[in-house]
Amino acid sequence: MSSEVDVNKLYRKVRGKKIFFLFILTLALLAITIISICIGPISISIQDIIKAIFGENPDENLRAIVLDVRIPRVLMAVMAGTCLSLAGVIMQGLLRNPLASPYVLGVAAGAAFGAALAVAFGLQFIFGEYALFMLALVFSLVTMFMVYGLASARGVETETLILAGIAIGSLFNALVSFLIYVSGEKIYGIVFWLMGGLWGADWEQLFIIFPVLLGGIVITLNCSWDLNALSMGDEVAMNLGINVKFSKIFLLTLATLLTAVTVSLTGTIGFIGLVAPHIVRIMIGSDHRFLLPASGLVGAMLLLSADTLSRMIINPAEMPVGIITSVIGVPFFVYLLMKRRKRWWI
Amino acid sequence: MEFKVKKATVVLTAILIIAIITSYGIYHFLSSGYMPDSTATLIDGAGRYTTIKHPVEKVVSLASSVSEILCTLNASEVLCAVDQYSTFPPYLKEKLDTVDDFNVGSGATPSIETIVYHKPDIVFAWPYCTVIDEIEDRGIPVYVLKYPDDMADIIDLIKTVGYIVGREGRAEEISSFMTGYVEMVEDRTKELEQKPLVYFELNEPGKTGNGSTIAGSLIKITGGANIAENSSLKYLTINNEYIISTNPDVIIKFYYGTEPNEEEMDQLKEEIVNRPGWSVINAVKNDRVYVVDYAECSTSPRLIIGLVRYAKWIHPELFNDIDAGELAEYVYTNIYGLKT
Amino acid sequence: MVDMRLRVKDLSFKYSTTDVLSGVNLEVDEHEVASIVGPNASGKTTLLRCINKVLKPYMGTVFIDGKAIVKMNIKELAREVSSVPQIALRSFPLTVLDVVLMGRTPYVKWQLTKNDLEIAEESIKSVGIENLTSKYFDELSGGEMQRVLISKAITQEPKVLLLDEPTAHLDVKNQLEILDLIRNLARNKDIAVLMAIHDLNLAARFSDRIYMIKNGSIFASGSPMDVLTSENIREVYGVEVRTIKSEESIHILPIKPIRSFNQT
Ligand SMILES: Nc1ncnc2c1ncn2[C@@H]1O[C@H](COP(=O)(O)OP(=O)(O)OP(=O)(O)O)[C@@H](O)[C@H]1O
Ligand SMILES: [Mg+2]
Repeated sequence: MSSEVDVNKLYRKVRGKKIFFLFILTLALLAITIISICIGPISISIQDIIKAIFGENPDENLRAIVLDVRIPRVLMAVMAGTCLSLAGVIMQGLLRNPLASPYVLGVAAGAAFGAALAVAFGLQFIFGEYALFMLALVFSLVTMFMVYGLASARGVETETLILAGIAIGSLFNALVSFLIYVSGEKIYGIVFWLMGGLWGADWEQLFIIFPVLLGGIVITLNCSWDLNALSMGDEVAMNLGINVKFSKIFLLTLATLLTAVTVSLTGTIGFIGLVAPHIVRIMIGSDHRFLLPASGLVGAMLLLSADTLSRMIINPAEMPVGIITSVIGVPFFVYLLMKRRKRWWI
Repeated sequence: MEFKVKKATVVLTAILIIAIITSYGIYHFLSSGYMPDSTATLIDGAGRYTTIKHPVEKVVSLASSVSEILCTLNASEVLCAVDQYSTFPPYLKEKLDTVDDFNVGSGATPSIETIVYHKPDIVFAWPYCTVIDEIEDRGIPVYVLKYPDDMADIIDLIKTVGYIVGREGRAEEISSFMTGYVEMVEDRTKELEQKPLVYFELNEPGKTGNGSTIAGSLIKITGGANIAENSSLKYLTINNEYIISTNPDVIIKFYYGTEPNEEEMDQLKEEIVNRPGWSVINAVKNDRVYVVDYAECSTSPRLIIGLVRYAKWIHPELFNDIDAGELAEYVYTNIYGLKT
Repeated sequence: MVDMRLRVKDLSFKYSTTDVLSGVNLEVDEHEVASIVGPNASGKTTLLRCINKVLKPYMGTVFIDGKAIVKMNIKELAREVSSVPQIALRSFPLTVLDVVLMGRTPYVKWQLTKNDLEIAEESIKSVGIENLTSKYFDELSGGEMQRVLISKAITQEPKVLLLDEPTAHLDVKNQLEILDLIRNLARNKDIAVLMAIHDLNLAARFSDRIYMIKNGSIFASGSPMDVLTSENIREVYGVEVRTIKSEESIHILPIKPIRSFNQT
């Protein structure tokens, strides 16, 4: 019994640090949000922006640009980034795999198939513009349950889940390719959709994603302890009083829902959900009570910065945001590979 | 010497017989058509030399535009197979659906087997075709097309195809008909000071093209100013804010469907008009959002219909005397030989 | 009659086709350390897993203080029984403190109370890992990990502690220290300890009671002296041994395996 230890003090010190970190992240996100609202392909002065929002007789074009286009897009980037990161944290924790992303269970491929189906059969023309969104959502959930069903044949081991995700994901990818093949020019747009982007962000979309995000945050935070326990393995979690089977399917569904809604609105945006949790892990560790909110904030910042860049780089053309997130993500991934290999690599 | 004379006779006779046989052979060889009538060496759209039989009699077209042009040249009988998207004029679609070996699949990865089976004199393909070398390895010349940038490229293509199948006359007729319209439109618009701003949108929100796309070229000819004219990218997704702030006077939305459907086209327009923030755009305010059938703006004689539509949308005051519907009817009856 | 802390009655278990445990009866009282010994694949781990409800026996019952565990939900059980698994899984970077505090999972909703922290501190001290608290769990040595996991289990304030081969990867000194620690915990914290262990000498020295298991049934049970006889070992393990009895314990010296004798 060498050194003395005051757990209470130590715990409070560590927690204080983490809360401070969260606070800094929140400030940073706020700053990036304001910057992103102020800069864009059309440079608008801050006074004009304030006038556009609150002013008596604003220039109607400016007002449309700021209120109907720029602000919704910035908010969408924030929310989509948060959703993807939360989903990423859940998947990595549940599957105990640092390579898990929100898309490991083939959710994105399912969504893409739903969207492609909508485009191929011109369903937007029959059921309105949300046909694409609905079909994407439905098929991403279908994918998840197919994967879970397949995996549960062998007791829902993480390896089986990942393999089933790869299998079902490839199946849907093949189906998308098939649809592209048979549908010709008509479906050309789906290729773009697959790259993901926030071009069409508007208030309506925000009203769809916001409740999902809010629910997602509240529920995942409530499940932090479960996630902590589950990330040590099923048996440990069970011994800690976690209903492993229920928690797993519940959290998987939640992560899928977060991913599915986001993907259905924005297309497949890569790397955010994979990288944001790792950045936070390096900085404050893997206690999900802090990992979850911090990853959400970091993911929001990443996607928002990437999207703002995508609007600026080859103005007035837009870079697909997926390219920029990957450009940011790949070097980081390589860094992870080199630096943390010993610890995380399987 | 008796013997000697005999020997000389035999030799002479032999020479005679050989000469007769040879000359008969040469004559037969020539008259049987074994010798090619003529050949032609062309430089294709990719800058490659291709030697073909001229005029060609059997064609496989992996490009729906070429299939369509051949039909307008009244040369549809030379088509022994086409790619799966060659569905216009309708009799091609019918044949695609009913005749098995008429369909070679996609233009990118066609069935080499089917192509070889037809022993065509030439294959037309886009540069994205992945099996050009494989086809040529089997002794079949491939004419690789160039992606057209403007009206002139398309008229050139019609003439080239006309030459290859030996329908120069008809090709000339069609291209001068088209050129006539182009010149008439150019004439009326060239002096204009005020060029309305035009935004055209392909299949995705924000997806448009610069000046060296067909749509961009149509806008230029018809006296409009494309808002993405100077983009360094041929095709690009243009920023939403940028569209609103440039405030286009005319918006042209492309419709991609196998057959034009009024209802779907109306819905496309509705969607654009209702986009958040777009109500301030002049084109929306003044109800100048139009939907055009993609087929009328692609590489074929039908492009002339698109041209006239653009002209009327961008400068209605200048083209009062021309009716796009009438022109369409004329094109379909007289150029495509379809009864309307 | 006062109920035993842990009582396993007529427990039988099978993986889909193969019978693993049949009619196992076993008791451990508080303050007691009981060991399960037996050859590989005899069903030791399986038995422990039945007790913490990871596996469901098809027959028989497990009682904690007279209450059947089937009547408890998984959270209630987690407050009664904690366990230290045979192999710790690789995890994302968590500090030792994080892992120890994880033991409070069955008690907390979101916020840890002062009481929770005191319990953790107490457990860290009793296991002697004060100097490790800020280290990363996955960077520890095997012996340190074992201690941390025991500390986590103790933080759970269990009535019954299950350990699966707690000395597996440890050096001689650590083996003795850990087992000593376990015995002290049993004595001081009123815990009933049940562990699976391969080393018969250690089992003999640190257990109050030994259950010798063969092919899924208890072959012999009782005090180390009574159970670890050369006849029993010969019968269960198929090994010729010599036993030396000393004051405090019984020592087993393996001689050679018996050729003709094979499992089952
Ligand atoms: N998940 C499983 N599915 C099927 N059979 C299993 C499973 N786990 C264990 N078994 C079988 O049950 C039997 C008992 O295994 P158990 O792990 O309980 O043995 P053990 O006594 O702990 O062995 P060891 O000393 O090697 O740890 C073995 O025959 C094993 O093959
Ligand atoms: Mg075992």
